[in-house]
Amino acid sequence: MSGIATRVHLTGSSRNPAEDLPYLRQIISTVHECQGSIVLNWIETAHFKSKDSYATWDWNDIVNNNVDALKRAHVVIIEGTSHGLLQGYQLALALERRLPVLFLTRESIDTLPISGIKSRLLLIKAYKTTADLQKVITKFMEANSQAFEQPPLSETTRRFLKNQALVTGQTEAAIIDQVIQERLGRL
Amino acid sequence: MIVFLTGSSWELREDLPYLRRAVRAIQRNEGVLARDWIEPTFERSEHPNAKRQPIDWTKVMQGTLDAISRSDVVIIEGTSYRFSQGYQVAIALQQKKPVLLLSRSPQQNRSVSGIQNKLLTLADYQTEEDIDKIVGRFLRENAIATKDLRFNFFIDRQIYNYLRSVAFETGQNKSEIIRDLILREIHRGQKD
Repeated sequence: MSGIATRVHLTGSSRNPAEDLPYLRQIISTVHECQGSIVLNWIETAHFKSKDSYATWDWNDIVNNNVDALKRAHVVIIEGTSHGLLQGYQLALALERRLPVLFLTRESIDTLPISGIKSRLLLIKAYKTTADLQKVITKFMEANSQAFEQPPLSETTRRFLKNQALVTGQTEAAIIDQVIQERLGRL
Repeated sequence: MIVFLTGSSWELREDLPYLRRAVRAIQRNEGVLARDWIEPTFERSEHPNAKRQPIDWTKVMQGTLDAISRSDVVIIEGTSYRFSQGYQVAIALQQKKPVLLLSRSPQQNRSVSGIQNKLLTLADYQTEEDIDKIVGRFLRENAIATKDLRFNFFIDRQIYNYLRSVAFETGQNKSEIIRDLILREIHRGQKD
């Protein structure tokens, strides 16, 4: 087996830092346990800055950093309990880029409008405890692992994959998956 | 002009007077609503059994996405700053639709102020009269006569291959390359 660490863009709202922080920390720790890496580590900074007024935050920078992180990520995890507008915005960007997204909430899923978004790339999970989180994230990371049996690809195929990845912004694994899905007639 | 006016159904009671005012402003400016959801949703929410009736979010979301696709512009009442409103902002911008995001609380210090897109207009309001002015101005600025136009056209394989390879080399999208070529031709014509 070979491959690279799965790059995860983790996003959440800074509205309720005290409530969300233990869960966000648990997500990061589980991602690391699954040999993944967090593309943008904003949580501790945001927690530290949460004592300041939002007026002092540079939102241009924050949004740009999040969008850049999303472009570099293989998968996206959204902690969505606090219903932030920016998280909804990022969900649409992630799905447009065909990135697998795990949406996590401590609320009941059925009451949330997001439950109406139908995409095979979107997984919505409710959780109550950090132990629940650990299970859900481990499963998600395993399903989207970038470690794969290196297939014997020809030079032409490799070049095609590289070009497609550059043009579309998708990972090479996502392009292979898409080609196979199309072949299976599931798209 | 087809206008999709959207907002949060969670805070509908508080937002209702402003949404109704926005509907009137749209109609006064000869706009047509892409989806008339406000009054039916309010009626349903006021029903004594409202809390016991589950909402079919798949149907709601599909209706919303269809309405965004059909509309020329999108207006979002975003005071409650909800997740689904952010989702709708992104979907509308992906489809190159001008978006007006209205809020009764200042947006300057919120994350949405960091979204840099020339199609996105943020506007704060306090009164129903403010809605008239903001919505009217937004619709006039995005009237068909003053906004960018779109149309479909067909190209052969040779042109497609050329566009694809230039797009790969320059990082521009195919539309940008075509626009640049036409602009170059216009400037060349003006010099001659």
